Amino acid sequence: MAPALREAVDLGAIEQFLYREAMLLDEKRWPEWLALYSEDCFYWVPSVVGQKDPVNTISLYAEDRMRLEMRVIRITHPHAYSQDFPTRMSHVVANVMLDPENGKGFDGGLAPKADLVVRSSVHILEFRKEEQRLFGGAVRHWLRRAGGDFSIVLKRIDLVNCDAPMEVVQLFL
Amino acid sequence: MAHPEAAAIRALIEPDRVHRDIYIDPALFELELERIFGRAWIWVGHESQVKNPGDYVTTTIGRQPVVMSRHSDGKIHVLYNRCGHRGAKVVGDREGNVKFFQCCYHGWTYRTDGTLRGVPVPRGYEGTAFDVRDPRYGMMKLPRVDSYRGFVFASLTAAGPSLGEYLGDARSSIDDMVDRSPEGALEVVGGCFRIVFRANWKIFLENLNDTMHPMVVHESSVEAGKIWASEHLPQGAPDPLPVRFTRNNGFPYDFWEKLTLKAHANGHSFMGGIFPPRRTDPVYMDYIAAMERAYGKERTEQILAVDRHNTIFYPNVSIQSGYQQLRHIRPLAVDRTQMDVYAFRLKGAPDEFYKHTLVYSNVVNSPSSIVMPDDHEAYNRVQEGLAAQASPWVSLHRDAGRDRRGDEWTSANGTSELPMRNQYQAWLGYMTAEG
Ligand code: FES
Ligand SMILES: [Fe+2]
Repeated sequence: MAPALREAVDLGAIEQFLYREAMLLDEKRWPEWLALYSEDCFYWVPSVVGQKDPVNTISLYAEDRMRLEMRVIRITHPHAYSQDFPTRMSHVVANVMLDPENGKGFDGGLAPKADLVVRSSVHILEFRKEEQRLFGGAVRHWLRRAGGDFSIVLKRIDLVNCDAPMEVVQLFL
Repeated sequence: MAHPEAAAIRALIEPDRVHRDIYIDPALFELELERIFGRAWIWVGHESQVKNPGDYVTTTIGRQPVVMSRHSDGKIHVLYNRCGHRGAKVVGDREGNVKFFQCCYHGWTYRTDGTLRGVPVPRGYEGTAFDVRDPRYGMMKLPRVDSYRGFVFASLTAAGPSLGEYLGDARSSIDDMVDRSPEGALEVVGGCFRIVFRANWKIFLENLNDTMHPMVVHESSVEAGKIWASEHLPQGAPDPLPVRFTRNNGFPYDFWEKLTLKAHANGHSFMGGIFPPRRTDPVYMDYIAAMERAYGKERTEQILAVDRHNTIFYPNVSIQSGYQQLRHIRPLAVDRTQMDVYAFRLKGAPDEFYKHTLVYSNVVNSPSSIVMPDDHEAYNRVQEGLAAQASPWVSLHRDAGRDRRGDEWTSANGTSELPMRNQYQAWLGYMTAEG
């Protein structure tokens, strides 16, 4: 990114945007959460460290908008038995910065049409039934300016335990 | 530990119901590790995971740590992952490539066929009973290793049926999976999903050919696909893949009823006749063209006409031959199981075809899929429910007594509980065999 543009970016506004996403996820405000994503968005959680490609190797999540929408319909369906006791989550977003590499090498070859790439760290506390789980990792958001706001073109979450044996994961990270 | 006598084990399995102890009794689980996972042919991996000399992957058979490696002569070995010196697990990574294995503790080294290559300062062993050529001081080979069309199996005991006898005619499902490649070969690209659930391993095996569950368990994902399509697509538009893959589970009972279930004398089984009309999208048409170039029209038609879903090779692996998926069962505890899920690339098929295979993995078979969590909820609840002292019996009565017996295969209508009843006959065979 050109230095002038870098200066023009209001990091405070970006932080508020990421915090808002975290809040919408925690409060399960799904339509509002989906509205943060562009029509051509992609939501990616690799299943191996340093994964290069979301469509030619397996991923925990490799979702276009359609699949995100299908997921929301499922988890809110009254007969989603695995949500009989609904999963609860708390996201803590920290270390927000403009990605020094501008997402280079991390976009999975998707070449998202974004204006800026933001890096952050996330810790997610998840609870269902008897137990809590902790997820954490590095997050990259490819953001497009949309009016006075942003929209998410690509979100990549590199979990530290991406390749661990794990029980099912149902909500969004 | 005192093991129950054969008569006591027999009392747990009736022709049409089984005792809840087989799911919840830790002593029976220990016995299963010894008599089933300790004796049967167990799938350990696929040849393509160790393509080159020096390649290795690690896994477990029951609780036994093992490593599958390809030696410099091209031969595949399955070795106990245990140092011949003082017992350390030699191979620490899940997979990789080495010139030789080196133990992290005192530096003994092993060739990729398990033979001891060297020990530091060998003069310390001069005049002792230690013999560098004694295989017991190497990484020991498993007693039996064999493969069928790229699928590698091993057994912890030397005695028992050959792999061919064990697979029997169920091998035709492996043929179905491999024949669908224009080159007649499969390959694992990248890793696998490792999914843990809180239930006994047998509960998963029961589910695989249980056609009475999809309508109920998977209602939410079936509806998700249908609702999405109705909101976004004109009526009659072809289903996008995620909708196609989820909609199947919502077929009505009379659809499932008409399928054929086949249960094999060795505990294997599959369901046939499940697939809806063949796909006609451009990727699939390209794939058919590649198949026809390789095999000709007639043979291609023959290959694609095979219509099977979820073939179980009892006790530890299941394939979806039409979707290039494999699920490997690893029992961790009486109430805890790990399932490793692999997606295979059909060699010679268009690249786009493999992307579709991964859409299936993503939508149906990943820990974060929209289908599997509801299955796992059911498995976990069976385990929780069986803690109740209510009735000791688990019912497998559906269509009992109406099986059509053949030599190798027994058949039944698609909603029969034949495959489960059959699994417990195999279970009984392993658990009561003299060993
Ligand atoms: S335990 Fe492996 S070298 Fe000593
Ligand atoms: Fe299911």
